[in-house]
Amino acid sequence: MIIWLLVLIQYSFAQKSDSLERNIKTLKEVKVSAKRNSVGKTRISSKLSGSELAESRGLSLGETIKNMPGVNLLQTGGTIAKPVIHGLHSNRILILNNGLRHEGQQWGAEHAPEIDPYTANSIYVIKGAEAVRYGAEAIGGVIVMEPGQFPEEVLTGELNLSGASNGRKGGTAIILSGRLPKHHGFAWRVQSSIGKSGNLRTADYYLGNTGERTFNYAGAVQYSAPKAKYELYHSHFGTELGILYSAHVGTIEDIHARIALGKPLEKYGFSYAITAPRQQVAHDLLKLKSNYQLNQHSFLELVYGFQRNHRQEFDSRRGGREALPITDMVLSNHNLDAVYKHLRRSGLEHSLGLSSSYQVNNNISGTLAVPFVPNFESFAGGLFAIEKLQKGDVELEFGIRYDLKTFNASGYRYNSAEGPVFYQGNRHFHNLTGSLGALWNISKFWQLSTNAGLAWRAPSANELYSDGLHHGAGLYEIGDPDLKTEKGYKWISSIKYEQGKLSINLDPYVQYISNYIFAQPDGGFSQSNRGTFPIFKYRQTNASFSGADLSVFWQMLPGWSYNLNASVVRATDLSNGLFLPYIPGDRLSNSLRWENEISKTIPSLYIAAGHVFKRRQNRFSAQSDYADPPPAYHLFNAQVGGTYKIGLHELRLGITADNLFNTLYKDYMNRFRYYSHDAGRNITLRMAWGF
Amino acid sequence: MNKLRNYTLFLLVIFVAITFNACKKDPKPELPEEEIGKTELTFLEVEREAHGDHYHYNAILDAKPLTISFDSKGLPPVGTHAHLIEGKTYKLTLKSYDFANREMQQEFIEKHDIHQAFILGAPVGVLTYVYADRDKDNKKVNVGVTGYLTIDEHTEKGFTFRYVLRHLNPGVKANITAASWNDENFAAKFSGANDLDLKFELHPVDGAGHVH
Repeated sequence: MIIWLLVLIQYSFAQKSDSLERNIKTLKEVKVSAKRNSVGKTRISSKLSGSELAESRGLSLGETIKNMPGVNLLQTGGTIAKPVIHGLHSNRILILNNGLRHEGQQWGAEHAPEIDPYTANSIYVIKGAEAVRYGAEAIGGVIVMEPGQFPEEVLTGELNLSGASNGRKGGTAIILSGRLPKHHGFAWRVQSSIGKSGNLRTADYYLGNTGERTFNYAGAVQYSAPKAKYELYHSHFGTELGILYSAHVGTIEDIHARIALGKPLEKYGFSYAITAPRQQVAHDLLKLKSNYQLNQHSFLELVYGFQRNHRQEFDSRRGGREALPITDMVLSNHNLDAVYKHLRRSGLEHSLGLSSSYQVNNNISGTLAVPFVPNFESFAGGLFAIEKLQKGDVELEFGIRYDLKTFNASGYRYNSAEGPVFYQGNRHFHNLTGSLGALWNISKFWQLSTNAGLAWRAPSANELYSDGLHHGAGLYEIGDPDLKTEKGYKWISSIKYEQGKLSINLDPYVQYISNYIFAQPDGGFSQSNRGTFPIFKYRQTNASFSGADLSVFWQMLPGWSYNLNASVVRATDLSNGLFLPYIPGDRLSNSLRWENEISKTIPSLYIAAGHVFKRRQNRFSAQSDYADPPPAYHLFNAQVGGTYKIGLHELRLGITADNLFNTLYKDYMNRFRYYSHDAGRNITLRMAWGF
Repeated sequence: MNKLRNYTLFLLVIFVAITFNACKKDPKPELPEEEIGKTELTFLEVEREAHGDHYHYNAILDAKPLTISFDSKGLPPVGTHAHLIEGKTYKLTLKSYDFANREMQQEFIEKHDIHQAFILGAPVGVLTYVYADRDKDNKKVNVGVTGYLTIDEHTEKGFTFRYVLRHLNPGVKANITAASWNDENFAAKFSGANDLDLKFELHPVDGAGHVH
């Protein structure tokens, strides 16, 4: 009802602004850009789009961007992958999906982002602390997912088909978009993707219960008036995925026994079946956006968003309760953002913004299990101002922001002696953040950009209030309701050299995080009739992160190109003189590619071979983890494909072979490395038909 | 001015929507029915009668049961020290109670494909254990809710007797035989989690008796 009301109000705005604008004949018409100015020049970022994105279609968001400089993955088995930027993940990075902050249960390392990558036409990874523009939690960086522009044609579309050997995965996606012929201002887009996969296989054995199902759809309509633009967007993300059987462990004794073996003893075959432990997640998003051109130099953008995240987790339970979720949570989020922009002839650009959100998390009762996080509601409001100046070869940006957040939680813990025990908490957080960025085109070939920013985040519900057994992790977690705000100060620069056929990019960075929140063993054990579990308590420390990303692109000969990416992260717990756990090891990847236009009907044919080296993570503290990091490994991959044109239509075909030599390996950033190896060879066939 | 009024109206509608559309619900306490409450292990002397390659176990009319109780944390009363006598056989029975104090050990037998108990902690050659559960079709199943424990030898001192009831991962039980009843490497070999892990001090004594 409320949504319809909003649509009506928006529509009436459109009518009124149309008539108003028609009367102002003297104003020069300036096209209102539908594209949000999400990535400024002074922001250090990399972009994935076009053929590079097309070659990773059918993968999860994490898998899609894992090869971008500075990005790694935090995996929970083969089915859950979270992006990591410069060693930080979960609540320390922010995902901007279609102009809205993605609001899922991001606190959990085993909760993958609930976003269908097919909805994005380009993906940016911003590696600075960008809290001024995007708000809290952008400590490590921001992933910006942008849809394509609405077409000018009446009807256009693309059909994608993909099949992968590992997991015998099949997937299809379709996107249709167009514009009404008689009402050219109206554009629309609908899309859907489905996928199904079964048990994955390492080089040696199948991983039991690692299947996945996905079903996603989205739709958007846009109305463009001369001085205004309105957009309504809805998307649904749905997934069901199995959690590796072998990772179902109880006590620390189980974990140590499994680590000693390093791989499952039980043998499984291939199956599409998904049984407990498993996850079922639905994420719905509704966005209403309007852009107004107030006068020749002033613009206003209003965005309202609603997101609903329903997460159900099913565990191996007693008494036939495997069909009953052990975790059942609904997270609802309302966002309202307004940005006013004023451009001056002098090259100055002022931006003033307001953002607000109201978030509610409710546990659905009836799980017959004590919820791990409480019910909570949170209000967040922020005001920001950004000044941008472009003069000749220099661009400067300065921003300041004030945020306020309230957090009100209540729940029950269960104590065998007293029964249910009620608890609640009220917290208020506020913070002033700032950023300073500069871009300098030093010469024709050299460019330097630098960005310094302060970002922050409030402690999450589990860090504040958890008090219970973390199923699957074999540990008893205790939150601290008095945790303070975590603040990250990051300085990142980018030195770019580009001359003809050679392009080199080096992005060094340093970051200091005060009150870095993490769980640490306290030496105690929780006794239960199922055994003893080590107690982990949330604490705060001061941490430092530093490193660099290097990218080299060299067009050696006509058609031949060489690409190199290298990333290094160094992270230290400064207060205790220890290393932080789960920081990615050094990575080097390089590839050689031949690509040429064969004829007008075959505008592109390519063949490529690549190599990835991951160095062993030697910077670890034994007491912070169950097992030492696994050894270094090399993986090889190959690709072949091309584009075939039939009239105005286009057929793209590609074959990708990952882990070409079927290497048996473990990655330090896979949380299931204790129990199993990573996936073996995977050959993927992709077909896209554009019409 | 009109425009300004419209924007204000837009914001107002949004805030009304925010205020009324979702709110935090009062949490409801969940009774963790998953959790097992108190448990009991009962040792009742029986007569073991050889019958070819196996034994029959006959009840002894005036046999007195020895029951060890464990609280919801799996702990026996402080100082529990039990004696069983060398050469004798005992029917070992598990009773477990759920959060509402209802007996629930039958559940383990019903789901015999994922449950099995292991009897651990005894020095080699001291104990022999035989599973004695039957499913609803009266077919023998190796679970360990009921079993027969024979004291083959006495020991100088007591040891920590450990009863672990394992909740096994799918497909694991098919590879476990009755001979694995005392496999100390159960955690590595038979993946899953423990439903019960009960410990107390047991001291097998010789037939002449034992005095502390």
